[in-house]
Amino acid sequence: MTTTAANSGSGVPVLEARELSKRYGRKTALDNVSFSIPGESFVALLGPAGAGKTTTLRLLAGLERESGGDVLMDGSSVAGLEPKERDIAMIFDNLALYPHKTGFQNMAGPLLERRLPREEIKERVDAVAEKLRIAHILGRLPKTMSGGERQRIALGRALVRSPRVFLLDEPLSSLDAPLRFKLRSELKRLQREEKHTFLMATPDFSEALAVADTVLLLRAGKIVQESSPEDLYACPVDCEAALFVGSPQISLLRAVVREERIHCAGMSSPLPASLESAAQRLRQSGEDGFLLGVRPERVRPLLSPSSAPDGKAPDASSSSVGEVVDIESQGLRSIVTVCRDKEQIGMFCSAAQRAEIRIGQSLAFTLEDWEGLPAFDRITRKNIVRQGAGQG
Amino acid sequence: MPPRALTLSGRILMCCVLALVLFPIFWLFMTAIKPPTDWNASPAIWVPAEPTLVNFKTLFDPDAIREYGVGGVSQSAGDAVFGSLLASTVSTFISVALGTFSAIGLSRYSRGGRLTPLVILSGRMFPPAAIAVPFVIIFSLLGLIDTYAGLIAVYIAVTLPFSTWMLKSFVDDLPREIEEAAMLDGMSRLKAHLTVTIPLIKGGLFATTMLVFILNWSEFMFALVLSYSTINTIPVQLAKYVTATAGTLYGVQAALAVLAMLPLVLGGFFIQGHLARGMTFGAIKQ
Amino acid sequence: MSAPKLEVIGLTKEYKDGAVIAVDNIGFAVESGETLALLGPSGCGKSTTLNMIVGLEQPSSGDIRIDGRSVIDVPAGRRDIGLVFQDYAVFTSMSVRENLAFGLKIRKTDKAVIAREVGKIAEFLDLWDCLDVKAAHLSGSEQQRVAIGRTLATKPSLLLLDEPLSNLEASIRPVVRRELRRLQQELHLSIIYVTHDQTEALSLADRVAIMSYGKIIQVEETLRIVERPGHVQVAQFLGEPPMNILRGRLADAEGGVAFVCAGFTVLFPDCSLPEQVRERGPNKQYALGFRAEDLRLISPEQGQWQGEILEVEIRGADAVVNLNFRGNPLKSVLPGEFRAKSGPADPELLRNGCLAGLALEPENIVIFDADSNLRLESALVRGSAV
Repeated sequence: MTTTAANSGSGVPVLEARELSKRYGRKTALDNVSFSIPGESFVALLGPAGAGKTTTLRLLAGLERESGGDVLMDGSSVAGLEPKERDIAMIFDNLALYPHKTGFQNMAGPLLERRLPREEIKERVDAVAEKLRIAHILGRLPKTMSGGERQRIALGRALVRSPRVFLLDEPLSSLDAPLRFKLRSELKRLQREEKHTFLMATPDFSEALAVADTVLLLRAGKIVQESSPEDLYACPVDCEAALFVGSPQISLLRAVVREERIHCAGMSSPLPASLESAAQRLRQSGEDGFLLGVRPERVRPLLSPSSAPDGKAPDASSSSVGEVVDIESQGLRSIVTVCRDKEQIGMFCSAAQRAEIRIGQSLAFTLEDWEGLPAFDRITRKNIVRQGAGQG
Repeated sequence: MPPRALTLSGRILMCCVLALVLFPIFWLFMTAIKPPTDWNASPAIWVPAEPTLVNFKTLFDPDAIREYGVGGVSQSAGDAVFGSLLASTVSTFISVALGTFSAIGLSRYSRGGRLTPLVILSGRMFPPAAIAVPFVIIFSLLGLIDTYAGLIAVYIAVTLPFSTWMLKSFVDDLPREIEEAAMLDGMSRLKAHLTVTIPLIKGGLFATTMLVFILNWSEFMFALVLSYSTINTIPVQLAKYVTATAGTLYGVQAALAVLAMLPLVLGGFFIQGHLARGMTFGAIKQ
Repeated sequence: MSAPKLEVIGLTKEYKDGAVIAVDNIGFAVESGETLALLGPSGCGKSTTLNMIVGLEQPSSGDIRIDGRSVIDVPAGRRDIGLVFQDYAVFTSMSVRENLAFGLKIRKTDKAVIAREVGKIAEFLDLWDCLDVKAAHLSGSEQQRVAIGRTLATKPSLLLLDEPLSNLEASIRPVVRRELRRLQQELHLSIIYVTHDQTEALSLADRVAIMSYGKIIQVEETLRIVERPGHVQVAQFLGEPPMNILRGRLADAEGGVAFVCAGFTVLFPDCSLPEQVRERGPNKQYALGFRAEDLRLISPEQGQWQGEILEVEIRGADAVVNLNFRGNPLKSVLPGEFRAKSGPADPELLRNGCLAGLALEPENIVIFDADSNLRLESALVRGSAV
């Protein structure tokens, strides 16, 4: 997993971690992690709190000494180098601005350390401030700025010196949602237009999917999946990854294959092509049951014909019935959770459909398109479709 | 929330507490300006009818009080004031300077494991009387008895754990990312601490300096056992105003006590603006 | 008709002698058994409003009535209101049992009653197994459950929840939201839910009040507010992503309605202006709002208008395309099949910097008055009716 297709063309990755480990006393924070960040790419380090995201970034920045492994920049080891000797900028989750200095002084920090002439510093800070639309707050202290403004100053402080790599540690986590969405697309645009290299840690899968070219999924100090955002969503490496990515959560349903048909939650369908090789391997090992990952957008509630969007009646074998246990409104649509045979299945319904649904009633639903659904081993919980495709 | 006005009962209670706290200070000031006849008067004289500065004069001219027919002590308080200023200032400065660096070291690099802070603090856990005698023996072997160097060394040793411990809490409160961001900006570790950490714990430094100075300024036990004739401090001098002929010289004692309070009150007045915490507000997300 | 559970009338809070108006003449009512969400960005006055309802702050003017009686002069502790804070406020040194009993104990309730009530709450909130565990050893969501249980034990007539989920990890929030919905269903509590997160407001409240700069700009049923925003600010706040807004003039044109913005004109064919717009005369400014879900991408040649693709944000099931339409940012939601299948949009088209045609059905457009920012009742009319 140390090389990706993207960097094979452009040669040496800008930043590379090789079997990186970090232990605090007896606790292992990071366990033999290897990955590489190709130049001009946006990589997201996705994982829940405590997975080791911040530790990874701190090791890369040289703020902490690794217990094992190596960090390479442009192909040569930077182990043992002080932070200032690595050409890396980091934006901390708490921003870490100088509280006693103005926006301008904060942004000029890295340039002052490099002893640039005063006019050049002013020129560069002003240019970056212009780009981030913060020229008007340069004279103010951080405490008089809004959250978004502080965020931009911290970004500006990293941008004034165009380092080889930017490390961003949950940079948007404390902002209100609308501002977060706005800033993350600005961040993405900036990275692409200026051809920067970004590594961003985030606990929020939607943020990772929205901005990244490649997502590294980190769990308990290990990288469990490295893939494109689309693949992470469509083809998660195991059940936990499937449950972590996507909201509302994926439903993992017991499924069996009998006579070239797949049966699941009272529905059945001819075995989809995407599951053929996995089903064959299962048969060889004498198993026929597995877990099928069904995301809510695949399932459609079946109400009276008038409320069905296209009025198409599904064929009987591909529909089933369950008891409604929860309805969660999301504004334009709602998420309905039905329970069938102790399994919970989530699906979307429109506002009009919602008006007809009550908790406790039974609701028919259908899964029409079985192609490309992920499937998982019941015991190892690993994705059995992915295995067939071959990893790495 | 805006501050609320106190209720009447609250005001009265507040006044009572204030009176209780301020009465000894009031009494001290009044005694300092009483002529010797009023010192022990019964019933007590609250405010002297004829205030006098003779007690203050007596401090630096031991014979002045003889006008009233009261015998004094032979030694002037001048060298005690000088001794207190010298020992307290130098030892406070060194203690806080060393404490700052050990606090940063303990907080940021946790060298020496988890027990180190406790071991350091344990230096403060003995009552001074318990270690006073060993100090005298060791210091007489080293020839440090009755020298300011010796007294300053003791003061540093005694207050360093305190200043380290107190400053560590201020450094702990400061997010380490602020220094680390400075390092990523291109500063060395030392420079980041000198130009980022220390200015940002300024409030803590002032508060610690003030408290350590007070500890040193009012220290009695070590000054007593380590001084003989060359060195002297105000607390030691205060104990000397007991005479065979006229009993305790309350007025003179009070006068020296008032003088001793002055630097503390002035110091406190000038640094109170810096004592507020919350220097980091705005630097990090809330 | 009985009085609503809580009624807030003309409530105002000024600071510094009127120089700062934190809450500006707001009014709303919470019916018995109803959940009202107070939704707005941080600093909009939500917390001040809450503090006044609880009694922690005194309003500058206005009235607060519970069950029809004014409580302005009732001190905070006696208003019969339960409050759950963002940071749980459980006593970590106490066991769960002691925490749950706390409110009753300080009310000097009988011991047997306390034991019974604590048992009920523990059963209801599924805290039986950890009744004797110290609260400090519980996870965030369990602590929040204890905090809610502690408040419920005192049987308040009104429950105020102040951002109760914001300290929880994102992955646990849907679970807690579901628990809260069950709580509402089974206990029929009257709740005010203060939050800046629209997901929480929409999923938990019966009605939503949107606050902005100290004012309430719209109160509406949850199921309708996203569909029918009454104010441009509501339209720009609700929905993920929120509505697209374009400002300009509306005029009759050959074959339809022309929307004239600075520097460009968009023609909506086969429809005519509603009466309301006609009456106002030709030179009025309007803001048109339309959902990103309703703005479709088609090939550039076919489009009524064209936008430049800035970037595509993948959301999993679908993707949001950020577009630049003559200097105006627009968003379009691409349904899930955009990559795999031959949808209306060619995947080749979805490159950054490419032009895409934009299609929008006129009935999906909401018209706002550009001055008052309020929504007009009528929309564009299909066909040339007038």
